[in-house]
Amino acid sequence: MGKQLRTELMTINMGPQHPSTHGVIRFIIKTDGEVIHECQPDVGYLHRSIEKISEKVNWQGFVPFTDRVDYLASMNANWAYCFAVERMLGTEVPRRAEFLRVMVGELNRISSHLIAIGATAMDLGGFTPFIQLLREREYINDLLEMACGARLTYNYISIGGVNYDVPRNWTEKVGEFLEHFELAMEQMNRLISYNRIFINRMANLAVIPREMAIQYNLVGPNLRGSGVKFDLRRDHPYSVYPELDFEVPVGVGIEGQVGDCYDRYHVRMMEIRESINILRQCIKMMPPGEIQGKVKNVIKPPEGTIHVRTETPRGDTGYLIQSDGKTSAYRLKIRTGSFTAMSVIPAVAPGLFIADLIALIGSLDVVAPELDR
Amino acid sequence: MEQKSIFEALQSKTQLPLEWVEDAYGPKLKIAPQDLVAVLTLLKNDSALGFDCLTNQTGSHMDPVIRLYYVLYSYLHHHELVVFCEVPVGAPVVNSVVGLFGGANWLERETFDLLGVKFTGHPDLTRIMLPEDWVGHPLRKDYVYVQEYNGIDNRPSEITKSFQPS
Repeated sequence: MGKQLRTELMTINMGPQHPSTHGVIRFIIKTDGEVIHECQPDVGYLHRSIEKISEKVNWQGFVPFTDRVDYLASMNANWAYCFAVERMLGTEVPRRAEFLRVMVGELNRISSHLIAIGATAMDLGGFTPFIQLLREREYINDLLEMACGARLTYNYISIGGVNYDVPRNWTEKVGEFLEHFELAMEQMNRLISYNRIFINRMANLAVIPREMAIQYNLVGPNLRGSGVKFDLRRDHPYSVYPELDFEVPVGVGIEGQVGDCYDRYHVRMMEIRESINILRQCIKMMPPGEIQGKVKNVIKPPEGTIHVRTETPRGDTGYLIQSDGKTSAYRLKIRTGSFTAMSVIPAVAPGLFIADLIALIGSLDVVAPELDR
Repeated sequence: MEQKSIFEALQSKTQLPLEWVEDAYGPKLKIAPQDLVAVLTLLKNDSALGFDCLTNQTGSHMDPVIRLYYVLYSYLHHHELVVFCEVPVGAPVVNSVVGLFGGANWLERETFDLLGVKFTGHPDLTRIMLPEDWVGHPLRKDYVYVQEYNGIDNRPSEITKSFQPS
């Protein structure tokens, strides 16, 4: 009779300073060897009380703060807030401004997805794609810098329009970039998308079925990865999206089951393709004209509460704004895609290997500042 | 479905008191806090209404009450409804809806953390954004900024004071 081995669950910490948790997030994991029994994310390390700040600054003054909500997609974050305030005021946005918004928004969506894809690949051990994708992202940063002078926190979209017009030949430069970028994407597909090692790591992993995705309020690419064909740009269209022709890619279980990590990755890859499509159409349709609608210097939206959702790269951003008719918001709540994506991890993680948790976080595209606000 | 017909459909199915409150941005459904779970269950399970997702949840301190917002969305019918109820600031207690919507777990934790609303029946009602030993709920209007936290001096400097909004 050998001695009985004593076994027990081991609690380990992943983070807050961990290279693969995409920012300052901590996971408290109870493991049995390599297998996760329980995973509790501990968030809030980057809480900067942006919602409280919104109650102190005036309506226009809050726009630069929205940059900091999601620094990888500041254009879309600006847009989400400005669109909500415009809905409150009933402001008409000039047509040229709408096209500029769509263009910078889609460029920013591409650059945000590039980081998501590259970081996922890097976390799984492939360093080359990250560097390559970051190089492509630099070109987009150059284009956005031409438009607004900043490379990360743009503060470009303002309430009623955009702050500056783009330089001459900007649209041609975007066109040139797209020519080059499509080839680069093909290279990227060969490097990761069709890579057997990558597929085997991602396929059939951490499957989030359709009902669970809706239950846990997943949004954007994560929701579409689970097979829900829903895109605010198509289902509740805003701006000039009704005039543009694009597909809504959904997860179909291309390498495994619907809603696995590879599906979420694949949806992002397809969305980049659709964004390229949208940009090409915008270049052709870009009208001349004004870039700023009529907005008073002191904004006082009427009393009441509004909830506005806008499609941003990390799912949709839901702004619930309560106004009391004064010069700043009475209460402003930002529900971001990262927040809901993070809340699904305790439900999905049990049973995964620790190394696979990294793939799950990467495929959900969680960004810590957007999560904590 | 139009907002008006959502309300009519809901009213025909329940005896609970429902109030339709219009503001500048469209109608909202006001209910009593004790009816919250019953109304949300009905909204979720009825096939014509089909609100399968709680897309946003938060609160707002409006002395002497805290108003709790529940934004529901139906991925089946593509319509949205804002439901709200009001609980007194002195005893901000309401039933949790985690059993209905899994996504409510973290949303309610955030509302608890920042506004101090207690959700009975919540599986893990702890602070989410702020540290465990934090005192007070910052999104309340009468929140007093802490001067010191675990040895960290948090008093505003002279420069900061000069930028304080009026």
